Amino acid sequence: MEMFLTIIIFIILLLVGIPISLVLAITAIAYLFIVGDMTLLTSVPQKMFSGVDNFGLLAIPLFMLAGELMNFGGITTRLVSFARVLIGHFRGGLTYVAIIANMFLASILGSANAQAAMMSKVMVPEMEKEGYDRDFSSALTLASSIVAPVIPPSMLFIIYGTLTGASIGKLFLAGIIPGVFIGIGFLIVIGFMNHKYNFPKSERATLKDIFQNFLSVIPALLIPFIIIYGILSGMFTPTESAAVACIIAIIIGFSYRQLKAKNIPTILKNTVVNTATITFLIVTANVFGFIIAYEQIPQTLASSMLSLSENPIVFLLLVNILLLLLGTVLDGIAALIILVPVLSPLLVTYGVDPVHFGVIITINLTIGLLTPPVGTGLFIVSSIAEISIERLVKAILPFLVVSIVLLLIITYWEDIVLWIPNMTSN
Amino acid sequence: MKRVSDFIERIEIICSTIMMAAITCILFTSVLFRYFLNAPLYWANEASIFMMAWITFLGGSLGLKYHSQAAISFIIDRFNEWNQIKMKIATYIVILIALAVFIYISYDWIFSLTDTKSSSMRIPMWIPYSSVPIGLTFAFIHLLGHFIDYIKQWRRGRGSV
Repeated sequence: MEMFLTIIIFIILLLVGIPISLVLAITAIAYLFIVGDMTLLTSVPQKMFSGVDNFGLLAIPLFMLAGELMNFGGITTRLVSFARVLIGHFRGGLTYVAIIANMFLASILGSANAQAAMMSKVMVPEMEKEGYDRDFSSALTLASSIVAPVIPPSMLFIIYGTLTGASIGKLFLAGIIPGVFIGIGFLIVIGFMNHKYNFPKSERATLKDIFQNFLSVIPALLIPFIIIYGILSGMFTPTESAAVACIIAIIIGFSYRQLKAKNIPTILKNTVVNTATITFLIVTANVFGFIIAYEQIPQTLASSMLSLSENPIVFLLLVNILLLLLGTVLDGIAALIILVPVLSPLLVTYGVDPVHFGVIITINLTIGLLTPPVGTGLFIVSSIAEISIERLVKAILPFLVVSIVLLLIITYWEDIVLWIPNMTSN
Repeated sequence: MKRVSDFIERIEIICSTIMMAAITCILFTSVLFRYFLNAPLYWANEASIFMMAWITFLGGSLGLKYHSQAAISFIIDRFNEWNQIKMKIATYIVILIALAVFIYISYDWIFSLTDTKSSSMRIPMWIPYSSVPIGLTFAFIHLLGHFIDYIKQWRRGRGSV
């Protein structure tokens, strides 16, 4: 009865448009009032604080800052022009450029939303200039930005790691192959579309051009190298690698002469506000965790799932479907923060590797950014590229189908995900 | 109310951006110290975590002011403007009451702390813990500002009907 009432309150608060972070907090205290546990109520502030009392989480503001610095430092344009001199002269060259540049950028940024915003600002006008239609250009740019949280660094991996205790370093390593895999999947699909639609091509770049463009992106590509090397060698933690990435980003930005000292306050402010939208959610979700623990939701869920099937394949399929459905209405990060504490206790029951599961859930929820009615990625790109959500959704459908197919492959092919992390731990 | 809210916004931005810059510098320096001088900064991690707590609560409050926190708005967006305002007023009453409860229990918590000290820096724990009540108080003021705006819009709307 208490639980039923709580669920009703939760759903109502969510549907009337209250920020999800506050919904979690309000539901939690409503629940404590309903069950009348006042001792637990007094421990709520302590519980909120302990939500951020975690060194791993510090990687979020730091990678966020590195991303902002890179953005102001003009990294996107550089990456796009580098990818362009490399492969722009093939038929449909710019379509490949969009995907490749997205993969490069993913190795520097950890958020699909940020990446979609940065890429669509540069890529869509470029593609339109060469005669591609805007719907297609926007859809392609948005769809290929889903590699951002899969290829390290990744905000979702950091959050998943801190919520479950899985190693963030291992998650980063585990994301490399699936991220590249998704990129290649998109390249193949685009290859087929190329045959059909006969896309335009650009002029071949001279060797000198290629060399010059390469030189200008080297410093930026140092960042993924440092992150991976730092984790592999055990030289520093993901959090420390993020701090190092920030310092490099500052040096690069100033040496490219695009980052100005007067930009720094704006950059820091953006970082703080964007960070807090995530960490504040983690804080209130921690309070919401009272309900989950008190009502033994994971245990109940586990026993009802087990009565349904003991097969991990069925379990993962159900999780895939659940997350894709929830992803249509819930923001990816919010869904992750709410669902992981409920789902992760089931992993032991079904013998699913937590790192593999982290990759699955991340890809799953990132696909949710592309699905209406609530797809943050759709909102961002439709406002930047100035096209209606309906047209964007229509254009993105083929990519959505491909992403779901790739997701299923990654879900059932555990080895592809765990190959690098296992190799390094042996 | 709006002036108070804007003033607090300035304080929040200044404090949180300084702390953000400090975290970056501290953690970077700590890597350098560990590797090149073999002398790890024992306080670096704890100081950074405490500052992140402050950033979370001050920044969270800013996020509420800027309406930048994730919410499910596609249903309420379908309402007409007049109904949206009425709905907003109703939800803000709920939010403000809940926040008041949170603020009350968190000040209660801060004032009942025995003098515990942090594990590596040995500073009193009320310093990081205060981020909770202060951030929530600031959030309350920002949201009260929004609430008053909605009430004004509602009055104006009612006058014109």
